[in-house]
Amino acid sequence: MIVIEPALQRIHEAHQQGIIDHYAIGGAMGAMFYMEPFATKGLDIFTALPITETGRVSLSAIYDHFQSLGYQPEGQFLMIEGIRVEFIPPATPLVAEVIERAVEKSVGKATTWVFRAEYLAAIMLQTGRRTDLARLERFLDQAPVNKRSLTSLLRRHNLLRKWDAFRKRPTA
Amino acid sequence: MANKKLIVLSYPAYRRHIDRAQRSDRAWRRQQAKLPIEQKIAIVVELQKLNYEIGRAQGQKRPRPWGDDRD
Repeated sequence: MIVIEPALQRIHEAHQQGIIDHYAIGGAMGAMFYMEPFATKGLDIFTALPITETGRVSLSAIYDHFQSLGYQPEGQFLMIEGIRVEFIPPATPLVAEVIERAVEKSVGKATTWVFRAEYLAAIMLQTGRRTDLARLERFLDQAPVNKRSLTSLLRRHNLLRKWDAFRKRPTA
Repeated sequence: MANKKLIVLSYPAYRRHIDRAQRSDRAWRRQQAKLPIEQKIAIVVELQKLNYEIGRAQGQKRPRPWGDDRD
């Protein structure tokens, strides 16, 4: 049994039951579909979340569903089948777009959606922390990134200046 | 104990050595990137266990399974 497969199955079932909107794996685990493995805290699931009357994002329906199945919260995560899972709403138009354009992948018998490589690269650039930029360098070396698609994406989301700065930065 | 010699490299020789090491490292990482996702995740789980054990051995009360990587 693949360690992450049961968690992905539970998430996909929740999607089929209408508990979770369309979703996609992003973050470090999403990147790992295309690049070398590295230590990471858990599984980031990006999905649109309902907004309450006071304008806050609500995780209630998702937490109620998984807790009714016996899974418990652990800090910011829900522990689903031994995997730390975090449900994250799209914070930028770029992330909202990537969920829509995610690619379907199979992990064992589980079906899931994963961010496209070009979008992962753009998000690493947009987030811009030192760890993201270091990872982006390795990602571009290892992942099948379509440079033309990436450039078009960066242009649409106003990231070309950041891209230039990234390419011109001093490296070891 | 064997005698040790201090080897002094010229800068170009040192640079060649570093470049060769970096090329080899990149090639190894590209190979790792081609592993099936199932194997990569198994590696991550092992890394998490290892980070947790290292944290405990260092006396941390709540060791982080993901080590120092905050992502």
